[in-house]
Amino acid sequence: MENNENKIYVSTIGEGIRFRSVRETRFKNACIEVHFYYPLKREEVTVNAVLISMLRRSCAKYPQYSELRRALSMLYGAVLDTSVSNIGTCQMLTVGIDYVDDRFIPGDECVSGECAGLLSELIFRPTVGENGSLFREDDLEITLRNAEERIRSRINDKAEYASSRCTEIMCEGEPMSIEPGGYLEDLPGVTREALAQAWRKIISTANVEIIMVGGADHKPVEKIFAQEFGAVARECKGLPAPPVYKEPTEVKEVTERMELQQSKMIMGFRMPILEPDDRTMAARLMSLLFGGATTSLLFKNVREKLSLCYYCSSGYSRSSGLLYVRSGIEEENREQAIEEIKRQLDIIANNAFTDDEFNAAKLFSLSAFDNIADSVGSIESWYSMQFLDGCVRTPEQAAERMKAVTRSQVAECASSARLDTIYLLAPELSEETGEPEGGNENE
Amino acid sequence: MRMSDVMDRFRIHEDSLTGETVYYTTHPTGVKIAICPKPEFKTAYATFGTKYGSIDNDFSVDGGEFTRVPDGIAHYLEHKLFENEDCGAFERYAKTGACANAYTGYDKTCYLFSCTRHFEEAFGILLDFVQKPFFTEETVEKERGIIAQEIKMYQDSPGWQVFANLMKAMYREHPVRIDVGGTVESISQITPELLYQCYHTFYNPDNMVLTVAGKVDPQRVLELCDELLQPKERHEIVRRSPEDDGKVVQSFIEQESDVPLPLFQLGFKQSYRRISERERILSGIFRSAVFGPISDFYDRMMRKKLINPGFGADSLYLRGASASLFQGMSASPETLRDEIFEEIERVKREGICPRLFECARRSCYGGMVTLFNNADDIADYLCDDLMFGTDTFVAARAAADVTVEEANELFREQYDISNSSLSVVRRGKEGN
Repeated sequence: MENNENKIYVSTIGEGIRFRSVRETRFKNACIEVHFYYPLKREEVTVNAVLISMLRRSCAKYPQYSELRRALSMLYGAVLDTSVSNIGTCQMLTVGIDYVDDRFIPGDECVSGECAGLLSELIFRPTVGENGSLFREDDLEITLRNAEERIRSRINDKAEYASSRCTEIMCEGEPMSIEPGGYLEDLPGVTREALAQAWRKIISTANVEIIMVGGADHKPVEKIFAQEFGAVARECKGLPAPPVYKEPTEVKEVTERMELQQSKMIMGFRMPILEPDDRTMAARLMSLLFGGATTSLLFKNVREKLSLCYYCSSGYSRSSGLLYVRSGIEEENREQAIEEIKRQLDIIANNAFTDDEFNAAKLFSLSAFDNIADSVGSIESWYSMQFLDGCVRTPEQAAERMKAVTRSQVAECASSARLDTIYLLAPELSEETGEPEGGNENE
Repeated sequence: MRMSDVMDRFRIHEDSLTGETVYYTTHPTGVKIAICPKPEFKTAYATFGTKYGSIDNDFSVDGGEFTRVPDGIAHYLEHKLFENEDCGAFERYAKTGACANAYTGYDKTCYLFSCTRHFEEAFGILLDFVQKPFFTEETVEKERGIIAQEIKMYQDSPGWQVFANLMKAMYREHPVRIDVGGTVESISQITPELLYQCYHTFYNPDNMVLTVAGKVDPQRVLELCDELLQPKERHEIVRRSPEDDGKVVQSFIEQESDVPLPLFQLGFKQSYRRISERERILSGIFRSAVFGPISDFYDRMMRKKLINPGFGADSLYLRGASASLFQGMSASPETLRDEIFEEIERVKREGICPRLFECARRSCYGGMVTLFNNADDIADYLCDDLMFGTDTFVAARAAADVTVEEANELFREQYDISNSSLSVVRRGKEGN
């Protein structure tokens, strides 16, 4: 099926496997990404996350990792990317490659074909190790240590750490609270056998979307993946049920302390508006008006007017209906910041924002939709993030829907937001004074 | 003015390797301009910058006395410039849908925006607010809390700490040892008068550059510049660089912090000189051939559990300061440093592996060809070129034909193991 611009091609190449190509000749690079969408399960996320890292280190064609890296370099610096994230109630596991488009390669080398081939080698033919089973012990040892260090180091990014603590507290018992990158305590259980099992399970049961963006013909790439997946006995389980809106009964307030100069505050709200609800576009605009840009209410008031912080921003996830406000503040200003953030949300809920503010947010969002077309990476992620949505839209179609959003729809979204959790990651208290350390001693 | 008159003012560079065309000119006010039109794009991106950053903290104008200004003032000035007498720049940009920002580094300050609609309005706002400073006691005071929070945000990042400490260990006097944002204490000394003094010194057109890339018409951009750029009296700025004996201050610096795994930065101080485009490209290539994931060294260190995928090699080039750097996390940064020393000595003896050099060169070539891919990247590279006299196109071509022999010579110069500092951030002995 081709759309009216003749540049998007979509096909189903197996049970639960979609292939999408966006033909673009405006860029010097191109990419192919293979995304696996698997239900978020506390007991399986860790092994799945390790598996994705293992696939890049453990390829039968390149028994040594340095050989794979040299092959990528010889392909004019093709960049392999493996990542793990969550979307709704799914763990999204990605293996992808970004490379120089054939038109910019000296001679007539076909880098796109080689990259697609390399990607399929990585996914479908892991090393066979000792006693004939999949994967090698030395690769596993390195991958597990890297995973352990990656998980332990999450705490180094204090703002990010605070956000994930807030989600854990807010969504306890729900799939959204599961950390897609895995858990330290589950690493010892990740053996070669467990990995081999996870590999078979992901290849045969996960939903798959393969996205190609670039100037080359998609047919050879489509064919490679159709053949590879054709050889797998697919038993696609379908997508898990989407998150369910849960009305908060009371506001959970949690403060945790560590060695810090500044408190990181995260306020988590819930909204009954999540895909495939028609109102998600209005909710996106609401979040933008609230705290998504330098023209938004939180920036203008909490930062510029009250000088309480350097950053205070909001983010809304349409796959879960969660809305977060994140800021870095002095602990003593916590109440004032909370009051002001709530007050700004009320202003939106009461339809009391100005037309200028509303139009600025809308214009900003329309520009952001336009902007998606200008890089390979943003086009690719635009489509991969829509996998769970009821229907897939182009950025232009999304922009049309955004244009139609009204003030009262935005107000309605804001009034549906319920504060669930206020999480504060604060400096340790001084033993002598009982006051937070690292506070305003110089001001 | 007729169209051809305006277009005649450009020097046009058509680059065969990247396929890009860039229009260069120096505006009568002194502002250097580069424009790279990409009509097939939806986005336009513009940056207006001054060659002025945190290291320019001791200067004289037109032969006058030297002034030493408080740490962090260039950054403070960047924040405050967004506020004009009538309203803030963000408020004005709001009507255009542009996404605007600014940043201050060691040696430059840039104001930028990207937009897909209303380019001319947004461009007008950019040129206008950067040329119209407005500082009062009250507005300067209001910003202090915001910037203090920004400084504290960085202080909470162990990656920032370990780099800042390395600069202190390598440089005794050079202002790179001072954080771009200054400290909560130093910014308390900043006044409207000092801000005006720095503004009038460094925001004069001779010291400024303007770059635009994406969906724009070069002729129209230059016409707008003619309308909007204000002539100003030209000044001669002398920046005082402190004496430096070329040696590191200390070979080891450590800070205790609650990090799960030690973070490190290892720096090899070089005697300062301006390096060529070719040398810049060469050092990137040999860093990757000798220490990158394609190297045997990387594989060996991974197996010895001394590095993880965060390990990387880098470089620092600033006025009066150049160094080769390594960074990452390691269970034993001291052991890793010794391994790096050993590898450097081996490569100096045996030379860089020609096969790996070729691998890394190809990868670098791919990187250079795709550099000019997005409007924002293009404008940023052009901005650096205009400000510091570099030429990214020359660099891209160098990636096509540099040789391993040239690399071996430069490698010896860039890694002097008797002149290095190791900075470590780790948990205290009692587990902190």
